[in-house]
Amino acid sequence: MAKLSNYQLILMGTNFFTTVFIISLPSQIIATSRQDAWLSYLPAFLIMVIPLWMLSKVMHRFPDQDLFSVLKSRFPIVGSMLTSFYLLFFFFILIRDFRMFIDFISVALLQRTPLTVIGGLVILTCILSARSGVQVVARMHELFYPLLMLITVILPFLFYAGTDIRWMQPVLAQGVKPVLHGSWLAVSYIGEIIILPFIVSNRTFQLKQGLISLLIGAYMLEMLVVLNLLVLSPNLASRMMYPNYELAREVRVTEFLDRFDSILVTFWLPALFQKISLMLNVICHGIKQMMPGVQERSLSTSLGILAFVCGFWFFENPLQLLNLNGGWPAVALIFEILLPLCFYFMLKPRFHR
Amino acid sequence: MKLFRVLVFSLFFCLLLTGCWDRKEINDIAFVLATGIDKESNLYRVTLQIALPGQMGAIGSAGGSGGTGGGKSWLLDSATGNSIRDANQRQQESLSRLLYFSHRRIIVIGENMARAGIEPIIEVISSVPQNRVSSYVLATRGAAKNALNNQTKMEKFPAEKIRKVADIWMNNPPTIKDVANVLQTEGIDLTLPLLAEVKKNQLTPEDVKEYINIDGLAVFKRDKLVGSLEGNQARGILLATNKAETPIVTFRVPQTNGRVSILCRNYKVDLQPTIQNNKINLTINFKADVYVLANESNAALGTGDIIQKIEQAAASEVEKEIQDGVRTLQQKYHSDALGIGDTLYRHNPKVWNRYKDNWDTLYPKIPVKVNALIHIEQTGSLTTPLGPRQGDLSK
Repeated sequence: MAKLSNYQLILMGTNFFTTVFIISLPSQIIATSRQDAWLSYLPAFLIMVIPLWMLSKVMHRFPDQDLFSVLKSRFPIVGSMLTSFYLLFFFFILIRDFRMFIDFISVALLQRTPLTVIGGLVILTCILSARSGVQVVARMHELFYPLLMLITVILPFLFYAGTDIRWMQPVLAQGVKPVLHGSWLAVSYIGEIIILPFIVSNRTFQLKQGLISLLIGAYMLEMLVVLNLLVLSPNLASRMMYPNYELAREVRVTEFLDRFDSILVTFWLPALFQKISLMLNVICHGIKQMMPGVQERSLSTSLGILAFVCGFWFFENPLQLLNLNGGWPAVALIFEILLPLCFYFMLKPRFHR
Repeated sequence: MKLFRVLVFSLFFCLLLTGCWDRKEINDIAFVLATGIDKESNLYRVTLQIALPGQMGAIGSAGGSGGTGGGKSWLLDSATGNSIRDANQRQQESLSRLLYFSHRRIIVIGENMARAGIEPIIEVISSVPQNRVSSYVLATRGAAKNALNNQTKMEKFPAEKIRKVADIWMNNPPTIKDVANVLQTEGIDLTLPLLAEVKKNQLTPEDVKEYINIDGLAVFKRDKLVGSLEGNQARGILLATNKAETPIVTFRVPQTNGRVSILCRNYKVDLQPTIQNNKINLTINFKADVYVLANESNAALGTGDIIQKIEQAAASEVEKEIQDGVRTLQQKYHSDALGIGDTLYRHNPKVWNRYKDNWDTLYPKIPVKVNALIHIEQTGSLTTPLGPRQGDLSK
């Protein structure tokens, strides 16, 4: 069982749903909700409080076990099936995130380097990181993620002269439907926070940590989307592949502070590495729960290579990743809301006379 | 054995270090500082101003030290093509260094190109991540290639000079981002700073040099150039759109002789559209705190109600300039450069939806009222002008 501090868990939880979210998804949300995109995030965050609460209650019933162990021990056959489904779900997220990450590097940073080389180096780094264990990954979160959070705090001050409130007006001119459509796109990414009970037991994971992670993530995502609207405008932000990267390139404090995108990328890329490493680690941990004889460390290598191959096999180009976001919530919400609801009502300790 | 495998594995991946493919040595790059785009029949002419690092000596020097000899610190390369990307490719074929657009400061659009429509070029200059959407966009009379080939004594490169002149002339000159936003927004048309060549006499009549200057505003209807505004009309529109950079307004004060110049230190503009009897009216409220920069009249500032008279005269002048500019935009060019339609949408989207399909016929008929409120905050270090005698002062 991984022993993590509350602080580490909060950072990991926030990292889990923010770092990949801010790559391309804001562009699609702004394309649907336009100037009301900042409203789209709020229902998504509120909805995800419910499964977090339900899972914290479930964990409370089974002390000193993570959710994989709970499923396996309470319902051996059905639990194993559910664990397999969750592992496939997380594995698909890993492939999606991996491919999104290397596409971003290829388009924005290293245009001439072959995609396979970028992918190979990324997956190698993540494999080595995952092999070290979740505690090492958690300590890496403590090192890099607070700096990314700090950037979102200072970013508004760097744009003091470059914003135009017109771009956020008029509010709700197109009605509520586009806002809800934007929430639909956002909710599946935010719902990935439900991975927390799969990593640790109830001694570490309480509702409080989940809520703090959601709150910090909400601030970061809202701040970035508001700045996207005010600085780039809905017209431009909705047509860009990587609007937050373009936003960072707009920072200019006289001639002194230019090329802020380099600073953003310096802190953002390690956070992306950490998410992929953590995901790899969680999947290996889950497989080990189902097959106790397997070695976690060697699993990381095999799964990492499989993720590398599937990343190229499943997606031909970055546009397919964008198209996935339209229908993916229909699948993701089964694992993020429906199944936690079932766990809440059905996962209870055996009654011993 | 295990250590050996790890070492081999690591060494193998070192061979794939990504720095190799995207490695760009600084002496393999041609830094593009400015791009000029012209239309010649069906072809695009693209002119690039490229920095020559070896020639960069002191500012304004004719040449630098070193092996490359004297000469300008920049070079112009021009080529035509079926598209801008095609023209860039032809230029690349004759250059020994890779064109690098990350440091491009300005984009100048020639008159023919502007009249043909600038929509196709906006995508090209922003699609590659290397291009920055923060480059200034300006229009020019005549060909853009001539605008980039001009003299500069105070700056190293003409591109730098044009950029700084634009910064002095207006507040937040339009960038590619701003141009793209305006083109995509309904109810607003584009204006760009307009460059022109100006001949200036130096010490003798024969010593005439040509300089590039900002002559006014290029006015667009959708993405096509339709005309220009100069002088007070251009300043009026800059004031009305909150884009004048510390504007100076000079005017006569009634019952005095001579002129007074004021500097608008802080000013605020508010566009208020109203609907009365199904007709749209626009009120432009202009408020400014000003500084008396020069008093070339015989008005004694510290006496009577002279300050109020100056404030009223200043307000009348500002109202006149804005009215003139708006009238020309409405009657002559039918260009909604103020963004009245966009303002109407932001205030009342339902009303805008009703009128937007007929906006081209409605816009020229909209009555525009300007209310200027000027407050003199500072009068400078003199209360009375030094020139006139005591008896000649107007009080």
